[in-house]
Amino acid sequence: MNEVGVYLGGEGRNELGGRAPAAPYDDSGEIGLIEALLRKVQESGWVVVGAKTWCRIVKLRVKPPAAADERNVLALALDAKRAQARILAFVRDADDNDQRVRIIEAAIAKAAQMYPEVGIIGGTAVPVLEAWVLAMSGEFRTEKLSKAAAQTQARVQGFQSTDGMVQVAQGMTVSAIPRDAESLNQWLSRARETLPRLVELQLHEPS
Amino acid sequence: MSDDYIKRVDIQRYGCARNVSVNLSPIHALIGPNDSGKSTILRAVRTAAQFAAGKFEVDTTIPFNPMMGRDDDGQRVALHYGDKLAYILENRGQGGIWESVSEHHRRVLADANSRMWNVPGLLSKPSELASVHTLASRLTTATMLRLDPNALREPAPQILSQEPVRFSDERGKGLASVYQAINTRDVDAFVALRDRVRSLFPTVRTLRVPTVQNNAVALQIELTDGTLVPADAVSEGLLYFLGYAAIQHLERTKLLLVEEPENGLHPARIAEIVKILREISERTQVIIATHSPLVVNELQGSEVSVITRNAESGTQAVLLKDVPGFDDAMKVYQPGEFWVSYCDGAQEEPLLTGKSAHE
Repeated sequence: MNEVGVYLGGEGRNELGGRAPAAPYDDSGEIGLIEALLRKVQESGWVVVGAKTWCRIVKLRVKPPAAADERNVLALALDAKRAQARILAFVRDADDNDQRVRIIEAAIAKAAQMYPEVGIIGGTAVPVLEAWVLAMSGEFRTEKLSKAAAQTQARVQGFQSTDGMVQVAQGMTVSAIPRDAESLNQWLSRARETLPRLVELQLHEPS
Repeated sequence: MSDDYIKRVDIQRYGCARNVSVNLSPIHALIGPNDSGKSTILRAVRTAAQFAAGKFEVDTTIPFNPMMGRDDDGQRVALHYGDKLAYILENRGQGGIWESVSEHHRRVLADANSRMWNVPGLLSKPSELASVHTLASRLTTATMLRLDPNALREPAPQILSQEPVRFSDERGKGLASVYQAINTRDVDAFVALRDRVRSLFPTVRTLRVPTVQNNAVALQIELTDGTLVPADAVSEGLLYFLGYAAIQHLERTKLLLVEEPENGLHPARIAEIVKILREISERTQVIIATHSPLVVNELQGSEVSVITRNAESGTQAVLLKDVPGFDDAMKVYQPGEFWVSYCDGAQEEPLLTGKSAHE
């Protein structure tokens, strides 16, 4: 396979499209926001080889680990490795939780150390995925919104559906995203650092 | 437990186990899809232990007994305690059932068409051979348990002072008399059991074992508010816990076979039961068949075997620690979580091949 394998992780249909198992009957090939963003960075040379929703990461302990989010990032990276993906791309809502943002950043660094063969394009959507979509449509100060406010505004502007979000992502200009949308810009920066490089590497690897 | 346990069992042509070797540890769990052969492996071990004790009866609760009444030979169960110490049971068809110890001692037990006998076997008679003597102490006391709350709550005849303390059957019948005997013979042990129950069931003040009709005893729970709860009203979870907690005080058994210890238990209680079984395994080998990842979470990869079955090779066994990616996965998952993350309930292919599971 000359295409780079990408493994996706997200909370549900908005991030993963038809790959979210909540709708297994959906074989329309609907893509989610993560795939749409990756296509903006690198149109071709990669293919999705697997996906998992956050809630499907197995957690079977009576007393959950203190850093559950860290464990989940590591579990996704392990899944990506087992799926022989070169890249793990995921996003997790911050949900107004500053500690989660820090934990996931630390988890990304830890996963990169534990699984150097998997490039990680990950991060938290501050305060929530809908705020990213607002930023993509040109809104400023989206990270100052509460989770509820971001979701309401997205609904008012008519792109709370997966299809609506994907259309915004497909129609945006990356350079026009406001600089204060820090979590989105950081995620895209990671995507630009990782995806084209690994696609290029894969092209020159013997089949 | 040093060398005092079965390190490997080899089974040929016993039920669905055509040719399988299972490495074991002092406490060991068999996991795998339904109908893969986990219970068959336990029964093969139990069959060998029953023959070793010199008494074997057809178990009418089991729909078939593959060791009996077959014309074809080649059925074999070998329990290996070490490189040179093994108990082997073989069905030679018309040649009868043979048992041997370390290949140096053989005797015909009975012809293969017998369905019940009570004949002293190799291990049940005194012997000058050290190997026979060693195995006799390890194998002739084996207990199989599949606790059933209906059996656990039944009244039972008192166990007299000279009688061994044990359940009446593998379902746990006789629990009341077991606690009566513990209370009579070792008050400190009874108090320790009571305290252990109270730590997990805070509404319980104490256990009682009053005499009821026909000199039988029955289990009774006294709650902290003074209410007396008769056995038929005691919760199943508490009954299961009482059953497992009592095992350490039964007549010393060197081999305990347990089917699905997780049955009827709240998830938060399963770790405590496995803890009890691990304590038991310091003196008694414990082999478990389980469907519970919470049980497996309490064990190490070397203490779990993945049992699968296919049409070509029959039942097969692989230690969990030997499946691809196990070490990697232990950085993220507990063993039971790892199993559930990649099992498929059929051939367990993602688990056994190291690949990704399908969403």
